[in-house]
This record gives sequence, C-alpha cells and structure tokens, in this order.
Amino acid sequence: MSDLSEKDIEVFIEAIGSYFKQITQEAASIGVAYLAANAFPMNDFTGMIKVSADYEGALYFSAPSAMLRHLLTVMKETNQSEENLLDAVGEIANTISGNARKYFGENMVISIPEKVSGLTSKLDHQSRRHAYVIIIKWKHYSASLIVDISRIR
Amino acid sequence: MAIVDSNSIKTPSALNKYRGILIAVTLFLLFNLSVLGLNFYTSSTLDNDAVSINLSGRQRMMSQRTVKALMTIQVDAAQGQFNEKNTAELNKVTSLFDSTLTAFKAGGTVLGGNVKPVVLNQLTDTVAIKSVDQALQIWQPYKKLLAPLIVSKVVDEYTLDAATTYARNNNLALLKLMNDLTTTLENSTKAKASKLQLIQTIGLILSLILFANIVFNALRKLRASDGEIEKAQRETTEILNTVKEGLFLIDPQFNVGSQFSSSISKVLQHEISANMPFMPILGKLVSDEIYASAQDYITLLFGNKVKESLMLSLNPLMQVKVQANNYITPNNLSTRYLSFQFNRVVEDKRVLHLLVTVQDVTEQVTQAEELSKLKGQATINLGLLKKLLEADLFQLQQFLNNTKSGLASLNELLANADKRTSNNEDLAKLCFRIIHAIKGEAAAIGLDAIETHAHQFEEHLVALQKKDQWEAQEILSLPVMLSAMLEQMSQIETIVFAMKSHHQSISGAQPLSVSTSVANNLIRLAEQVSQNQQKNVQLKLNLALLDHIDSKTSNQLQQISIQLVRNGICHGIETTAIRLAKGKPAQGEIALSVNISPEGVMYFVVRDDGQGIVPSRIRAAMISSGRYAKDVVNQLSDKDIVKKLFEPGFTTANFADKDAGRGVGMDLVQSIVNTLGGELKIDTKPDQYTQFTFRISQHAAINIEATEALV
Repeated sequence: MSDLSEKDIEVFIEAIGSYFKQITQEAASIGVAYLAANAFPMNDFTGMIKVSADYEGALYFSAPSAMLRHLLTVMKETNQSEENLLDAVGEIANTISGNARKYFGENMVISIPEKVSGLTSKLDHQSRRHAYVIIIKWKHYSASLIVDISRIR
Repeated sequence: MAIVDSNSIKTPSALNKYRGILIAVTLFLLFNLSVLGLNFYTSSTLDNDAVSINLSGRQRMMSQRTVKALMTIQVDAAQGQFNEKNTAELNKVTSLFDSTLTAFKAGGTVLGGNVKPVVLNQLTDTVAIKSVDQALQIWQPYKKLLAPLIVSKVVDEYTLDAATTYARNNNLALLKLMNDLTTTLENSTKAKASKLQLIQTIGLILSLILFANIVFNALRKLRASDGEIEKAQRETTEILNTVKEGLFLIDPQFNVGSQFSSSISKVLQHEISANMPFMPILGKLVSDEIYASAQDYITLLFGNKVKESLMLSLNPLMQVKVQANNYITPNNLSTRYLSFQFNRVVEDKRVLHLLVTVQDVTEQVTQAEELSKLKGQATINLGLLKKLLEADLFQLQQFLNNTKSGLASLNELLANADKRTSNNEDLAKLCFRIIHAIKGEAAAIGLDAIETHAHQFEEHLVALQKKDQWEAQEILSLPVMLSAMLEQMSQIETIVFAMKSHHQSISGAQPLSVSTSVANNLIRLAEQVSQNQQKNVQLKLNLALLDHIDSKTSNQLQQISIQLVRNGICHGIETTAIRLAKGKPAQGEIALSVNISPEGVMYFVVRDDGQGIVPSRIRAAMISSGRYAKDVVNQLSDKDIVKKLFEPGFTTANFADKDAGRGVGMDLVQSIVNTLGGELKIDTKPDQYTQFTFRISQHAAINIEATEALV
C-alpha cells in the first residue's frame, strides 16, 4: 500500500488547469500546497466527488463566486444565477472526475459530482488526518482543491 | 465460548433406566400368575372332590333305597302282588350304586345328580380305597342276588328271601362303608382346602412384600432422578445466569425456549420471555435483507438436509451490525455488532431445537477496524518499535513535541509560501533547517527510521533549492513528504502514548532527570556518529544545571548540543592516526558544561580537543570542494571565513552523508542562539581545541535559589 503520491494529486490539478486552458485559453496554475487537519479554505461554491474501492474519502473543488462569474463571462454566459455558478463548479468537478477515472482506472470508483454552496471549513467525513490543500490560481483569483483521499488497499 | 456439540442427544433407553423396577414387576406378575395357577389347579381338584363327596353321599342313599325297594317287593310278593315300579326302582338304584362304586375304584363316567354324566376320578386315598374295596366285597354277592329280581317279573320267593336276608345282614355294614367313604373324602377335601388357604395366604403375603419392594424401589429411583433433575436444573440455571453470551433455544416454530441465559435481554437489548417468537426480535435489530436471509438460514437448519458444518459460512448473522434502541437507557441509539451462532440439537436424526449463542462483538470489531486502519496507514516498522521501546520516554516526548511543532511550522511555511517575498530557494532553506533539527534529534534518540526519512526530505530539498522554478509536482512533493512524516510521527505518538500509560501503570518509577536524559541522548549520538565517522570520541558532560532551568531552554540547549557534538566529531576531532601523529591522546574529547555565574549569567560551553578552526585550512577546503571560486575565497578575511561557518548551506564536505555535509548545523545553532537571546563566542587554537561559549544572561526561567549551590 502506498499513499497518494504527488503524481496522483497532480492528475486532479492538471484536470483543472487544462479545463481553464481549454475554456479560457489561460491555464490555471498551482499556488501553494500544504496540509490541513481541520480548517479548510472553502469558498462560495464547491463541487465534490466521493471515491471508493481501493481509496476512500472525497475531493473538493471550491471556488469563489467572483472567479466563477468571470469564468462564465469568458464563456459568454450572461446568466450568472447561483444555479449557473453551481453548474460551473460542478462542471469542473466533473472534469476532475473524468481525468481521475482515466488515470486510476477501476482502482478508484468515483461518484457523480455533487454541487454545494456555502460549505463550512470543516469536512463532514474526513478521511485523512491531514488532507491536502492546493490553492489554484487563475487570473487573480484563488480556488481551493482539497484532496481528502486515502488509499485503503 | 465453546460451541455446544450438536450431535444427537443420547438418551439412556427407558428399558435400561427402569430395569430394576421392570424385573421386580415381572417377578411379581410371574409369582402372582403361579399362585393363581396353583389356585386354579387346587380349585379344580376341589371341584372333583366335591363331585366325589356328593356321589359317595348318594351311595349311602342308594344303598338304603336298594333295601327299601327290595323290602317293598318282598311285602308285595307276600301279598301276591307285583309292582313293576319297584323293580324299575331297584334296577335304577342298583345300577347307579354299582356304576358309582366301580368308578370310585377305577375311575369313569357316571350319571350325576342332574342326570348328566360326570367324571369320577379313581380314588387315591388309601382309607377311601379300603372302604370302596370292602364295599365291593359286600356289593358283588349282593348285586348277584339282586340281579334275578330286576330282570324277572316273576318273583322267586327263594331268591327274594336270599336277597332280603343278605340285605338285612349287610345293609348296615355297606351303609357304614359308604359313610366312611364320604367322611374320608370330606376330610381329604378339607385338608386340601386348608392347604389352598395356606398357599393363598403365603402367596398374598409374598405378593404384598414384592409389591412393597417395587413401590419402595420405584419411589427411591424417582427421588434420585428428581434430585438429579433438580441438581441439573440448578446447575443449568447457574450457568444461564452466569454466562456473558446470550444463550437460548428456538423450536421449529422459531419460538424462544423456556430456558435462556439472563444476559440475553442485555445482549439483544430486548426483554425475552419463554415461547416468545424470535423473528420479530431479530427484525428490530437487523436490516430487512439480513432478516430475510436469516429466516432462510434458520429454516434450512431445521430442514436437516444440509450438514451443519457446511452451513457455517452461510450464516448471515455471523457478524451483524445492529442498531437498537437501548431498552435500559431509552433513546440511546448505539451501533453494535452481534454474532449469532446456531447449533442443531438433534434427537433420533430429527432437529428438535437450535441452540442460539449470541455475543456482543462490538469491541472486537471496533478493535479490528482500528487495527486495519492502522495497517492501512503504513506498515509499522518493527525496528522503529524496538527503538521506541528502548528510548528514554522523556526524550521521546520532547522529540515528539519538537518535531510536531517543527512540522507544523514547515506546513505553515508551505501554506504561506506565496505571501512571502522570498523565493523558492529561501523556502527550501527554511524547510531544510526544520528538517535538519528533526534529523539531529531523531539520530540522538536513535530513531533511524525518522532520521532516514528526514535525510531523504533534506535531499529532496537540496534538489529543489537548485531550481528557480518549481513544477506542480515539485510543489506538491513537499506536502506529500510532510504528510508521510506526519503519518510516521502520528504512529510514534500513538505508541509513545501507550508506552507512557503502560509505564505509569506498571512502575510508577521516577522518570529520568532532564540532565541525565539529555546526557544519555548525547552519549548515544556521539557513539553513533563516531562509529559512522570511524573516530574515537568521548563526551565529558556537566549538565546538572539543566534540571533547574525551564524546559524550553533546556530543550534548545540540547538541540545546540546535538549539532555541535555532531560537528565536533565530524569536523573537529581528528582520526586516531592523525591524533597520535600530533602527539595527542588517541581518544578525542568533547566537553559540554552548563554553569551559572554569581550574577545569574548562564554559560553553556562546548569544547572539543580537535584540530581547531584554522582559516587557511578552511580556505583550502572551500577551494578543493569546487563549490567556491579561488579568487573569491582568497579575498575573504579570516573573520569572514569563520562567519561563513554560520551561513546556511556552507560546507567544505565533498559529499553529504547523514551526519554532516549539508552546511545547516551551524546555521541552526545560530538561529537557536538568536531565539534564546544569547551571545556566542568562539575560541580556537590550531590542533588544540575549539570552544563555543554561549552566554545567556538573566534568563527568567532560571531558578536562582536552586542553582546557588551549583554556583
């Protein structure tokens, strides 16, 4: 058994990066990466995917509404309702999930992404003692990718 | 709990159990039957005797009727008359008398009183036989004399006279003989009757005795078996009241039996009573799916078609998660795990009951889950465990605290990396300093695994330091490595916590003093580094004052000591050959001492008798390492060269190993001295010594009173 490696985590980040690159011609990049035990930097809208099989836990992509509005604007989407913002964050979670499926194969069973607004800084079911927090930068915005996934087999 | 064997129950056969009673009853019946048989036989003899008595009585009458008929014929003949009736009477009576007398003699059938033939047995009694014989002697001539009178209607006077004369002469004798016969037969019968009575009386008494014996034995047996049952019941009750497991039987209708362990209600969290249906109770505990499979399983067990052992693995209730409202403290919904085992109770190849054993296995399951979690985290290194067990608890605890806070600071650095103006190289250096301190401490307490881990971390940081731009993977690698270290630390923390509680509970022994603990630690470190560097070094320690200063300061002094001892061995102390060549003792010495002046100034001195700090040699080493340009090095003053020692990343080593070569040790020392607010002075003489003196003034935490004696 080995824990998640930087290569494993990078898969999630690459997914986000290439999503932004594809949609906005401007890739999102990694800001900082650190560990958090309880206070997680959640933003206004969060896309969440749960994993099972050889892994357990969940992954959160949490973005501030301003970032998502900007993204929608770039996508020429005028309707910036909360529903659309949630859809945007869900879309990103979906992309992460697609890439992860490709990379991890059948070893990681990935749930359908859930979209939530206003998550607190605590996770409902924390799998890792210390989860990875990766701050993703796009333009001058910062979103959080929280990887609370541990390998169980 | 041992599984109750479910083989067929061997009941002792009823025949065996009651053998004694059965034998007694059989004997009783046989005895009674034989008495009855005897009675029957005697009665039938008595019947025969009664016939004999009757007929012998009739003989008396017949002899007199013969005489009467004869006399009547004679009177009629004297008057010249003849009555045929008289002749017929004579014929009848003589014929009856004769046949009866002959039958008495030889046995035979005669006409009875009701003119029906009766069997007359031959007499056996000698007296009676004698009477009959005598009567026959009288009767034979008598019969001959009477015969002409019976057949002829003409009465011959002479014949008649002869007959009457014979009759007169012998009638009384004949009557007496018949009387005697009757009396003899009566007496014989009486004797037989008395004998029968006696037999009956004895039979009755014996039969009563036998009966009493049977009753007594049966009662005794009954009492004994009642006692056994009572004892067995008492023992069963004791067992059922004591066992922790829930034990009960269920019948083919799935009802709970009358006997069950008192813990069952607690285990199932449901009041249980006899004949209560089991399935509804189960239904409240488990999901519908498990309930359905449990029902099928139990039905299959009662079915008796499949071997019990083969069905063990199919048991859906082998370990089942139950959620039940705690009936003792209602509304307390708690998740528990129960294990149900079913064993057949078989008699005559028929499943009578199932013995159900229920155990609350919550603790085991929880423990197993925790263990598997622990297993999932990382493999526990047995070597690490051994080192932990050997280590000094105080040092371990200090190591844990320092390392935890060190790693937390490292994480803080990572989290705020983008807010700092400094570049990645600086970030790597800062991380390096933290990891280096952890590495030093780990080495000092002998935690090779952590030391190696930290060393790898350092190597990674060295690689990163050289890069201006970090790729995503490189940025991510830092928290990944940090996470691995944290996981390892968390394991150690768990073990240390267990060790501490175990230690406290078993010994209550005084922990080592801080000075002893630090001393042990430094000695161990010195031994290890000397061995690695193939040098011969002895430590001389005077650290008693550490027991009287605050733990933070003593901890930091220890960290300084670790770095300086390591540096002293690696860079200061020469190899034995060189020392001997220089005329110095083969064994090098590093002395560490903590002193306090009367003014309350604390001095921490580390002195080695090694090669000293010689600027010219350092210059040469810097140039030969290839890291520094010759021109630059030559331009530096001696003071600058010594200052270089404290710069992060400065090293003259051509390669780095676990002990030295990273150029971080002195940088770390300087940073700790700065934190303590002290001054550092270096004295050195080539080939003689190097002395580091730390002056820590007016340290608030020093217990002046306690240290006065030491001053």
